[in-house]
Amino acid sequence: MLDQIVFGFSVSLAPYNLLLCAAGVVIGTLVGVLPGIGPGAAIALLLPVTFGLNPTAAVILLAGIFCGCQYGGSTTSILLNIPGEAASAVTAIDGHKMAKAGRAGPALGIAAFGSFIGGTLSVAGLMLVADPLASLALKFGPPEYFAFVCLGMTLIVFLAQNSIQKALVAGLIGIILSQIGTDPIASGRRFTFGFPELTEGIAIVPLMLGLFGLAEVLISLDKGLAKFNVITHVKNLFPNLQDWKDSATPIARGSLLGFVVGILPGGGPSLASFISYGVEKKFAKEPGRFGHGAIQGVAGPESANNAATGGSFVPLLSLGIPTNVIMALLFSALMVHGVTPGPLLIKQHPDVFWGLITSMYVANVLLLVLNLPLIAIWVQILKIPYRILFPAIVLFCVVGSYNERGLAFDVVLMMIFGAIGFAMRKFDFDVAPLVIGFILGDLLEENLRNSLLLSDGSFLIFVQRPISLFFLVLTLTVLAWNAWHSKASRSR
Amino acid sequence: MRRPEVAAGVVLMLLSALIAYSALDFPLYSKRSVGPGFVSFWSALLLFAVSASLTVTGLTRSAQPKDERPGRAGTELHGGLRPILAVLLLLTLYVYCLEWAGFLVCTIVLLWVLYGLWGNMRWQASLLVAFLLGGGSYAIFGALLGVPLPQGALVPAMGRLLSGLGSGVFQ
Repeated sequence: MLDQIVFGFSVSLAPYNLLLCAAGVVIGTLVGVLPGIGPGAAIALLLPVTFGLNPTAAVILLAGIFCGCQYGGSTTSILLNIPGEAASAVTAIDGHKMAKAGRAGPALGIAAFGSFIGGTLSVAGLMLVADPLASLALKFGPPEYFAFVCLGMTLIVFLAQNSIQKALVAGLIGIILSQIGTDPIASGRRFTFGFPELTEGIAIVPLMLGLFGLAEVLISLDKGLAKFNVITHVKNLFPNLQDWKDSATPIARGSLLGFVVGILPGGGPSLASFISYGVEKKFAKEPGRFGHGAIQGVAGPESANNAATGGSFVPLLSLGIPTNVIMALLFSALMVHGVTPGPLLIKQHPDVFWGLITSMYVANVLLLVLNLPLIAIWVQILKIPYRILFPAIVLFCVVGSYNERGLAFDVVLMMIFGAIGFAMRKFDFDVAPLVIGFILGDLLEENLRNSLLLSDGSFLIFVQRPISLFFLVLTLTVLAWNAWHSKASRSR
Repeated sequence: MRRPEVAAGVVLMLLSALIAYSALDFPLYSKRSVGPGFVSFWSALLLFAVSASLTVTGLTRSAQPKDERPGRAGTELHGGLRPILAVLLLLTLYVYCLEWAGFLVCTIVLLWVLYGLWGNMRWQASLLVAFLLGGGSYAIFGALLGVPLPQGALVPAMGRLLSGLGSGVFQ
């Protein structure tokens, strides 16, 4: 294990890779601080930047971008009260209150230190868990994978921020979209409507850029390009002794909780930060201070959401299953670079696997070293009006979707998904389940059909194999619990 | 009644019925496994059922007053449908001209129009920003990252024209 960690650091600390990681952190923060752009949209927009690089360098740059986006999102939440994503919404509650009370510096500082500690602990956990789990996953056959993908599909229900019905609709649309293109078993064309460009299916990059990038622009245009009130007075970034005393336990608790929640299907930064906030409020000596600028309300959730990120990497890297939308984006980024996440990743691309894990740690260090001194620049960026930014976002969407295959058709696809994403948001449909359904739909079909080929068409294969049976029972349990829970909360 | 949910439910029901019907073009089952139409057909049927339940929910639940939904995007258009349609129309024209006029020209024109319409700046300033941004993106993606951006027929033709004129002048 130690050898592999040293190998990972030798990859991520190579001057060129270190430079890319630093650039990723800065670019990620730069885009992440832009109001209304969450890490999902930011990564989708910045994906084209990695196209000219080799897979390891691209993954290291993405790790930097990802960490930078997360931190940038927290900055926007604290200074602007506009969370770019659900995970930062919790930070905004107390963080913005602290900023309004003239304590923007300590709020940003503790968010950075908490993220660093949470991120560091989760990287350690990732190193310990991912490798053994990948070895176990090598024993999986198509039935086990099918059952695990079914379990992964249940997270569509968990991703429901608005309504379970709407999340299911989005997830099913994602599965149906994944069927477009060449049949993975019989190799015939399906649902291509005569377009040869659809032979390989819908390209993931235009889909992501449309749903997250262009849709965001259209929503902002719909809102009339609102102006934001930024808190620009930021001083004393280093929290004082009392702040540290108040934050130490929430950071430790948030880190541990975040990592565990991150591994679970449907877990991830958002759920982890919400749970952490609830736990901290419960354990607090003065719970009444929460919602009025309690530093624990920033420290705990920020540590938890960063630790959950490390946790989310476990199923992605060892099983090839993305458990939230950010992981789905990274999954597609790896696929674009010809790297298939899953149990074979560690053997086939050890440089990518260990390089990614260690560069996550390096990115967390760089965030502290680079971003805190650069806070004045981020504040200035927050002041840029959206009317100036949005044409640049449109440009990124266009270039990004054209880049992957060099087809104008992909720009049209991006526009179509932009319109779909806009309509979905207008009608309160979540976009994340569509992406998860789209990515898992392929895996679901391929493993279902291969399993049935193994069993000569008998569906009993799924219950005859213990691991597959276990996952299917777990899937049904999760669905039953969710149905019971939503019924109970409705009757309350 | 919640009109948006009912409308979305009905549209989705029609769409899913169409997908299920199209999926029947492919075999649902084969001799030893399921066929290429299996997942799409059953997903479409499930989508139909969920959309039907969404419609019923929309019909049976009373509409919520708008002010009781903080932070939610309502279904009314604040900035109007016009800017959204305008952006989509501009992008359609952009795609149409991309191969012919090339990335650089198309991008500069697109950005100029976008900044001209929404940038709240003079046309000279918006043209300058469009030049800087379009040229910058061409330099970064085309030259630095080696992305094969479309050159188009317009710029080389103009280049030939200019060199032809130049040689005519110097002869």
